[in-house]
Amino acid sequence: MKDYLYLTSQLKGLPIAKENYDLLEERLTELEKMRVSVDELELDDRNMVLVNIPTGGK
Amino acid sequence: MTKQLAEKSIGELAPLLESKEVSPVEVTEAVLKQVETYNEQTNAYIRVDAEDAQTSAKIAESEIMKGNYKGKLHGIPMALKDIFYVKDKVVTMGSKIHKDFKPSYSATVVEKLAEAGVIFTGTLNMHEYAWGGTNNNPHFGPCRNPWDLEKIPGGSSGGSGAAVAADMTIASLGTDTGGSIRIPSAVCGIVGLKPTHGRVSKHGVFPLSWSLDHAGPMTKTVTDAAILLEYIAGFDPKDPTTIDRPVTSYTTGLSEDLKGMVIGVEEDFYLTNLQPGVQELFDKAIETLKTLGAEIKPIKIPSLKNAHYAEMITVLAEASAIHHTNLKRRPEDFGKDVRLSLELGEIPSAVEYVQAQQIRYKIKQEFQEIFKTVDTILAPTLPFTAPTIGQEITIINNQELKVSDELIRLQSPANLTGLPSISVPCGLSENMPVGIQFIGNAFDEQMIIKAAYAFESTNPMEGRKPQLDGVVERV
Repeated sequence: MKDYLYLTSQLKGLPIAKENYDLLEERLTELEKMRVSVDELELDDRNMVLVNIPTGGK
Repeated sequence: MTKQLAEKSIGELAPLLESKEVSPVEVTEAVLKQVETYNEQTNAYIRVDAEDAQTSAKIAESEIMKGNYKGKLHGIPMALKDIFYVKDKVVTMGSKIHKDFKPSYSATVVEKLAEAGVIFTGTLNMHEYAWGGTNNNPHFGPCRNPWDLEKIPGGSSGGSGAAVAADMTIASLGTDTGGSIRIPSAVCGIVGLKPTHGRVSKHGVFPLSWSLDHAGPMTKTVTDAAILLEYIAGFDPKDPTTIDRPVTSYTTGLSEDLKGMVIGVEEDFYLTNLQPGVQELFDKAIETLKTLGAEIKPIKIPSLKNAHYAEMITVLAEASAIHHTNLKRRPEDFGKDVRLSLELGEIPSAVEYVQAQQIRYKIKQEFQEIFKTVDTILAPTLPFTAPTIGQEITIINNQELKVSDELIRLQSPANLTGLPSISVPCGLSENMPVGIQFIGNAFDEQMIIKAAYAFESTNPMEGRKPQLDGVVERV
């Protein structure tokens, strides 16, 4: 995970603080745990809250 | 008399000001005296604008004396969270990066309050950029809870919570992305109203997360929240997220009777992992609502189990987009916790963001179905009372839980769906305030205000207020 974080930060030019790597790994692991039940939903082509509403015109 | 004036609500002061029994100058002086006495302890204000406030108070006094009373907010002193733009005045967002920022225009809500005759007394402490729920601000110092100065006032609108509770402002405005109005309201023992998304303009309010942000009142009473909402609600062409729906009178039709009202209670999500004292007060609140004539109906909202994930991914991504350039250029200028959250927000994929929006859609649909059978949903505002400043872990039912997660866990559904929610005090647990929240159908603020008003009228706080010498006293 730390390698992934390091690679991502290098690719994106993000100055991640060295002391934050452990905490970021911990927080990302927590998010991944929450994702288990999200994957179970098999969301795929389900609708989402973002909608494209054109504005302007007459 | 001075202190007594500062303790009053808008609803109590307005008739006194209108009848010229009390002058805006007297009320403003009373509030400024409270600030002078208690700001060192609470650190609720970032900036006190005493001279400007005194000048505005004299103008308001003159207007009222001439018979030009503008309405319920005329001559009411108020300080706002330091996130609302005021033209040519420094607005910091609680940050180092914006410490000298002077916007060239005022927020729409600020313009509306100014037009109504509000006297601005200063700006209030907040969690840096509103990205957190503790108000432990590294740049301006931690704001402290007037009920116990070692405890957090909640956040991100913690200065507003502390200032209203300590009578250092008559009322305030806050913003709410994951509970930032309701969290400080609950732990400071005041009323906080997060309106429907689109009900109140956010033009001139610095964003944390565009799709989750809301602006709303933080007040001493439910009536005051209703009064403030009447003034600030409405369509704003300058804010593309506001919706053109009629603004009704939120102060009419309030009664102490809830006969016929159906209140939904969802257990699996909202009643899990509560501190025993919170659970006890919540159960008591249900019994009170039944006594008032309400019907309590058990409900199920299965998608809520994914609400926290959707909230986190959405706010992480949107906040990191907002601060992306500064994170790259001057990361050391952010506080440690905010920098960590912004770094974290750069990592999740676009797929995860989209899935979070799919979850939101599902949750919205389930709430819509539920609101065909209930008028409002009742839930605890928070699972615990105010944690200690600096506390990162809490233990509830023998489980170690992260304070930062628990602060927003019960808030996020109302942000994800945009549904209105009002937090109202329901009593004290170990001498610290506890809140319950009523969540309503879209644009039906009237219903939750009605429920909260009736509940408040049963006097669940028994008149207790924070005493800054550390003693809880009945007034």
